[in-house]
Amino acid sequence: MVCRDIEKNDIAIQYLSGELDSKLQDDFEGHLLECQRCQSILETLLHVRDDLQLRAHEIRSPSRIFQGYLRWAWGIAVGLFALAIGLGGTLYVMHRRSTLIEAKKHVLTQSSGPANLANTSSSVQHESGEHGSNKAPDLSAQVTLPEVPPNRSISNSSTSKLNLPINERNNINFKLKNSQVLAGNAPRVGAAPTSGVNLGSRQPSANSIAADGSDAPDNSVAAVPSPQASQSEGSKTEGHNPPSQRATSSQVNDVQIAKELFRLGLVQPPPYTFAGLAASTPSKRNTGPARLSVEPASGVAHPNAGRTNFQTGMDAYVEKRYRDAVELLEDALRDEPAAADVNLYLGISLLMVGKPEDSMAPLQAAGTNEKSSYAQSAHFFLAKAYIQTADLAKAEAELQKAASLPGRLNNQAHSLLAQVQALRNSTYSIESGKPH
Amino acid sequence: MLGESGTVPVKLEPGVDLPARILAKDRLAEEEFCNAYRRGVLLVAIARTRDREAARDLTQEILMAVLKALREGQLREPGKLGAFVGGTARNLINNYLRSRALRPESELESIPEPSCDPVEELELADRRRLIRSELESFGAMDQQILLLSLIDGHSLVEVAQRLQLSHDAVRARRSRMIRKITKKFAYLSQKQALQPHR
Repeated sequence: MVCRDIEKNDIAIQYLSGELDSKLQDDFEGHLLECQRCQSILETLLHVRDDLQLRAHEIRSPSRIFQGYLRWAWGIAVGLFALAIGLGGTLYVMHRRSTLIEAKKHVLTQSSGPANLANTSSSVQHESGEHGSNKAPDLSAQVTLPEVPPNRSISNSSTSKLNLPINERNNINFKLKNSQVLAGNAPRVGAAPTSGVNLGSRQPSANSIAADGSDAPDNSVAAVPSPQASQSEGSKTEGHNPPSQRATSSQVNDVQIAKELFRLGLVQPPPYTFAGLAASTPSKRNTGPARLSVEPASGVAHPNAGRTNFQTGMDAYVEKRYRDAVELLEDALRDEPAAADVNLYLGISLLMVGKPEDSMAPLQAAGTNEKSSYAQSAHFFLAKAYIQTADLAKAEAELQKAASLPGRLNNQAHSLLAQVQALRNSTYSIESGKPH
Repeated sequence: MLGESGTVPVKLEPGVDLPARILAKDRLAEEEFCNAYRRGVLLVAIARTRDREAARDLTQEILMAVLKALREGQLREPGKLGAFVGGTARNLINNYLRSRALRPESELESIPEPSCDPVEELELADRRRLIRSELESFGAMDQQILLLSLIDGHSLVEVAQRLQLSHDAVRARRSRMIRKITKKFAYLSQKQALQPHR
């Protein structure tokens, strides 16, 4: 055995590991006794073995083996996490930007060209599932174009969701539809309405809206389509384009008109102050709708039963239970059919429950006596009823009467009158389908 | 003269007449014999017993046994003195291992005692420190290979199976490490071995 073979075949390490057979072991030991070089190699390996034995526990621990791998894995995981966060943030920012761009385009589309009215008859419908079982009012804001250009006709079933800026609040999902009744399955819309054009049978829940429709804290629209509207639309939508046709500018104009009608038709129920059952003289202080008090109609005696029903109904009115108020005031009206206050508050209550056409008769009765302090209010709210039914001509006449009478509603009547006239002076007439 | 490994050979060549001189009661010949074979016998004893203290005792015992045999003229072929020493060492070490197997696992006497030579202890500690730093420079897998092979006594096949490596990879890794270490430290051991024995 020579040193070269020993080094080449790792005989020394095999000797220490016990891998050599007995003959090789004897040969190596014999060589080792006389070879100082191989002795040095073996001595070094013995030190290696001693050190390994001392650190055996440390070397055997698996954490040490995989420490490097775990470090790499941890780094990769952190990198992937950071990458995911970065991608998520980027996608979120892109989504936000696209949403804002869409919203801007939508707003620009809505605000463009109010002068051109639609060339089709349509009913403005709001989607609302609340009070779906109630009787829907006859609302057909029919915008009729006398001469319909063939290339601008609108499908009667084409729909487009639009947002109405009512009292500085958007996203009311105002839907323009033709001849479609969705009373049973209309989806709910956002916040509860206070008042306004009760396109459906939804009851308003607040009465803090200004008479001209501005500065209300919470408004929305109940919009269950009217059967009458759908009935009337059925005969007017023949020959229109298929529903797949895209919305045109006329649709946008329809929506503009509907929005304007809605805004003008907003109703703020006047507050009521109890003045006693025996109040029989008009109060000089309460000359306007803000301070309406109990006042019997001139020349009409009020029996106590009628007054009691009236006060009970007004209690419901004050508590904003307008449906109860309607029933009680109708009872009071049977006892006092000519009482101006009963007729006035009954009409207002009917407006609040979304029955503008039913409210016209009592409001007309309340405004019969021009000398009554209720006359101005009666004409003003009668105008609101006409606006809600899209009869702007009669609304204008009633507003002129209200503006001519003394009272606190003068300013509001003048302002509303100007707006109604401006709406009527637009390109197309909105009254009863007749051309302007 | 260059050795087969390319380095200067440090072949111990005790005199052929050494057995005859020992037989003639030559004290210098006995001392020469001990210096020539002490380190080799000690290393073999350490490698076999893994106990340095026991290896030192065994070395003394082995050398004494060979000297006694030489004094009595029991060596028939003077040219085979190395083989005679190796055989004597093998027998005595095997006897020791057999007797150790019958003893309790732990005894107070088995606790290693510090060497009586402080210089030798310092050199040994320094060499261990250097070797440790060299071993720690290896990867965890390489240290595992050495541990399983040198301490646990596993064959290369078993080591490869445990570490899920190929046999050739394990052998190559171990060989590379051993050559690196021996190349770096064997020369130091060789220099110290050439110094006169204290």
